[in-house]
Amino acid sequence: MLRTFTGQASYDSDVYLGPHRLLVAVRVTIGDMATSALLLLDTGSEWCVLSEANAAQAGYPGEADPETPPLHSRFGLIYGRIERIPFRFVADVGEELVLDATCFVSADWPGPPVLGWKGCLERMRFALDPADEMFSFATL
Amino acid sequence: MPVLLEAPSPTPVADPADPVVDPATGIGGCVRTDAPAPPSVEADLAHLTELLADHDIEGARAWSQELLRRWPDHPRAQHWAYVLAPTVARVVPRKYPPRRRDLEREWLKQHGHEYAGLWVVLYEDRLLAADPERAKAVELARQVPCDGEPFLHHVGPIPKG
Repeated sequence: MLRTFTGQASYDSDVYLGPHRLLVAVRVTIGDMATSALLLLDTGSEWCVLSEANAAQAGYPGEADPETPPLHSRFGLIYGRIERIPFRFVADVGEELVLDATCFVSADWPGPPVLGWKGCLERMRFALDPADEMFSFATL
Repeated sequence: MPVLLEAPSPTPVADPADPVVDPATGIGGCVRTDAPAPPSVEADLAHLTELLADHDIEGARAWSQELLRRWPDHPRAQHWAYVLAPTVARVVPRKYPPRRRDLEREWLKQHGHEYAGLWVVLYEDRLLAADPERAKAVELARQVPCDGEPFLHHVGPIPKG
């Protein structure tokens, strides 16, 4: 079985982002930010999750929306809003990939930025190769 | 794993098959005292909230499109249809020449402990900026000439031992 990918980048494993230990982290540029940063790759997270500060820096609002149900997380209940924010997957080799990810943005979120399943990872082909710690990606 | 919690029940949506009396002529079927409320954007939005709280994302996606069909000019209907629509990934031209990030990792191994608790902005083996505040670090880095895309990182605690 052969799968093809258009971009590839090394990922970081078991890395600290502030006080948070990220098992698998990939580099992404959020919105129109001029810098890339590490995001926790978490296929078990329903949504991508960003702090308000993270979203604000990328040019998106972060105040809680009363229509949006709160998120139950390992940090407890967090209130926020759902926004669509462009994520650019930085490639070390090949082409880069952009998708407009559906994100839960919250001022209550104390954790690292999260790449979740719905509205993001479910919409791209990707693979992790622990042999050389490479993250490969392509469109579906 | 973050999950959405349960939301309040929505207001019932009217069934067009229910009999009603024509107010102009008085002609029509019997009016049910338990007849559902007429469609309202508030009820439709509440139903969307319930679907999200129940983790029925596909249901919420479908309902958001129905919301937009029913209330095309309502900003909340437009918002939900936009944010919940399935996204499409696309390949884009590179902004900068490809490179591996080994130099930045190596810099963090060698010097990270000197910046514990700070946000640092790196480009290859150069520190462009460091600050306790994320936004300030990014702003400082913008003022430093750079040939590619810098890397923003929050340096973790100093390893024990």
